[in-house]
Amino acid sequence: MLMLVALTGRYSDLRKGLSTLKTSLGNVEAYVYEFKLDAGWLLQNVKTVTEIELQPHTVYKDAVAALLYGLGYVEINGIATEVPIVPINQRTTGVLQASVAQSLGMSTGVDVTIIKQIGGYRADILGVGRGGVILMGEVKSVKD
Amino acid sequence: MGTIISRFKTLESWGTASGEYVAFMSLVFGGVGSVGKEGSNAVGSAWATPVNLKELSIPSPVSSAAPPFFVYSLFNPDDGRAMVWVFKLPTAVFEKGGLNYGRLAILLRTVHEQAFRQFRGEGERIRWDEVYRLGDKLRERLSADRIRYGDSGAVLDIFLKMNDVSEQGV
Repeated sequence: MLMLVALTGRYSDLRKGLSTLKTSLGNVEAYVYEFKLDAGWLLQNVKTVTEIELQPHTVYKDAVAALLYGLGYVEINGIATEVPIVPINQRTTGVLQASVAQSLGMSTGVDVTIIKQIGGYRADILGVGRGGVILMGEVKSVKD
Repeated sequence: MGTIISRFKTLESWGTASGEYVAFMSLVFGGVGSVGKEGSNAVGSAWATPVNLKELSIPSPVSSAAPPFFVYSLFNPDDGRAMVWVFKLPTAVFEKGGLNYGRLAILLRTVHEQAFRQFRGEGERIRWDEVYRLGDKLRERLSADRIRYGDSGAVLDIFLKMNDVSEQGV
């Protein structure tokens, strides 16, 4: 799906800018990108071929993942869309940590990242960049 | 084969608590993975990518020493316009080296409000300085990764060829 989205959006002009977001915790310098993607066309084609009805949200999340890859923020083997950050209690943390470590052939004592759900915001992990930098984020419809 | 089965068992064991750990699995599976049973917070990552365990970058625990990027995106399904804000989490959201979720929530609320205004063409000015084509950026990176991954990067030919065929058809 991500590849399909990337192909659909490849002719889109991508504008890049810089903006200062003023917050009570200080100013945040953000890179801003703008593009267009005809999700309606894509959704209809996916439905025709696969009979699967996707939400626009899914398409745009994949589009953002493709964009982050194209711009170098995330590694190709670190694209991880739809990875929600969920509350994890101490027990599941231990199980997951051991499980991941075993899967990777690492010591079960390896440190792993825990990110709680953030009140009012349902952030996801959008990917992992070079050197292991995590990209957390949220993709929202302006109509939500 | 035993390793593969082990990884599938790992996926299964995550069940309803996927979380960011699936990012690890996404790495292990080269970006192709799906976790989820009914009611679970599932994972979908669908780019056919090279698999090379030596290339894995294991994410560090989020801390002030390794602050993550935050990506905030808004889209309008009616006209297809999307905007994406990318920034590094400021040090002010950390406390004793770890994330302070209360502060992070405050930060994100502000970011959402300002981003929403900017999406509507209001609020803080954006200094636009570059325009390029999304497909060009993707091709550049895919071509580089195709070389970087050698034989295991052959899967990327699918995308590159599809892109070439489409280009010729335009």
